[in-house]
Amino acid sequence: MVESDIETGQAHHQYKVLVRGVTKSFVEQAREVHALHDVNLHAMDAELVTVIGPSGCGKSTLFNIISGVESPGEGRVYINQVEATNTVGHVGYMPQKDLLLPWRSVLDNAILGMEVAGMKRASARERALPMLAEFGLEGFEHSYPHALSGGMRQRAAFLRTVLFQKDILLLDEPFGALDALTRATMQEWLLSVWEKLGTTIIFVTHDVDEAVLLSDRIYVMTARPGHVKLEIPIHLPRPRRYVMVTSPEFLDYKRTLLEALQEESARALGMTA
Amino acid sequence: MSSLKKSLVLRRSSSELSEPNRWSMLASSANRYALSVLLALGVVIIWQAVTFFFSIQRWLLPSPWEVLGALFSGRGLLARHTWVTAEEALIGFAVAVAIGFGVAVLISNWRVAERALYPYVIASQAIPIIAIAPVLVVWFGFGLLPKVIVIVLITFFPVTINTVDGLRNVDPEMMTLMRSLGASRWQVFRMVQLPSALPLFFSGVKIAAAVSVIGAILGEWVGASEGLGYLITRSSAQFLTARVFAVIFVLSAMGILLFYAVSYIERLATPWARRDGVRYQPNSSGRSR
Repeated sequence: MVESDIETGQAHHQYKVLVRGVTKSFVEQAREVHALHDVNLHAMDAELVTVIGPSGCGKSTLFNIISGVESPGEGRVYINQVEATNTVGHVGYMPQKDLLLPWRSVLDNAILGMEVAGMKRASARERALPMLAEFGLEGFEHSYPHALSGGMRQRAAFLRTVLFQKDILLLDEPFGALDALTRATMQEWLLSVWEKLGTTIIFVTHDVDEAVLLSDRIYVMTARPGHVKLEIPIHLPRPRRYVMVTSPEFLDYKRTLLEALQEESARALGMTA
Repeated sequence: MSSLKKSLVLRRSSSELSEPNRWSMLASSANRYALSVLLALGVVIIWQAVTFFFSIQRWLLPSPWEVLGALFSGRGLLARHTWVTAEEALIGFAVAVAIGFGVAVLISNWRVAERALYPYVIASQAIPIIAIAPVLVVWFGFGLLPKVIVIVLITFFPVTINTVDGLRNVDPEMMTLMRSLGASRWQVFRMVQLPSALPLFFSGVKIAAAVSVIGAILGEWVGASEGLGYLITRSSAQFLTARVFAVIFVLSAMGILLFYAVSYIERLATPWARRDGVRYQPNSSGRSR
């Protein structure tokens, strides 16, 4: 199908996610905040794309718009080549906080999406149980979230996202609250799960190492109003291992990213030279 | 964290609440109540001593021993009137919880309902019940209904206010997540709002439970032919002070019983609030598939 307002013309049928000209302002404490300005980005099938930027660049707003819970002021969102602006239920969205329901066991938290979609609890549990092992949650299916460690909670939240059974996942700084060691383990684990699932992932972070290690492509956002400043393809071999963070190629990417980001951070703080 | 995990594993592998475990739990709860029992005992001893050494007249202040006597000798009379008051209190309490919950759901979900109802919810607490109770007797007679109305007027308020707070006390990001899953309003209510409101709902219900007994007495005070409130009025007019104390004893026992009954139901209804990490399971067989 051909959309007249998609400028890219060629091969757009492969886009899993396409964001075109998204601009968003909202009023916060009686002041107008210009959060996003003309954001254009895309993700291909089974691609892992990272959006990185200084804090407050509107990354979370962007995710809310892609997942359909917030409406853009201008611009459109296409999912699987179909316009999906303001339409929920097309993507698995994992917010920054794990948001596990304290009164549900790990298993019942994991099946939340399926239950909302109308599946019977018993069959949803049956579908979820075999996946617990891979998510390192075996033996904890009947535990409440407060009994879990930070890493386990994050994995449970990710399982909930995966079990919503969409082939596009939006992950908003999922490892932001974890300590460095747990984080490194979780990154490798995420990559292994992603390779098995074959889903498209859009990942938000402000950690440069994390972005380079995980991604096929990285979008660098400017400080508010958020705008895509730079797009960098990462040509590191897969499978990726955490030890790669010391390789010269990795450091090259890291330098490019850090320079771009530092400029933006400085601008955000009003320290422009 | 690892120690927590370890203790969790230990707890699951060892039997779930075996006999010795249950006994030690009983023992620890006995320890918990030891202090309040000791305090009561001390008060009773001093009370007995005061009435004995200062030879206070029994219509003024009966000794604990005499109160006990009145409890025993008047047991038939007390039981009959207790039944009446308990019925009023329980019916009033149940109606108040139902109305309180319903009003809270309306208020927290519909702006219009909030604007329409909230002022009257507040106003209902400004009404001096003691002033309105005689009118209720004029309208509805000496039967059950005016007492139930008085109880409901007093007790629905804590249920409503707490439940409204509970229903609104949901992380806005949780709401966003539910919306991203495409959840309907009813699903959000059933899966998120309702369970997250339960703890606050129950603290409102516990207040209501304790106050419902007072409401019943208040209702009986202005016009009744039976019930513990009526018995107090009649007994104090006859200077049967020991019996008045006996009735007070029964009343507080009733309030305490109702309170703990609600606490017990709360424990069953909110198993996640018990911080032992293992889900409440009626049968241990379905534990790990």
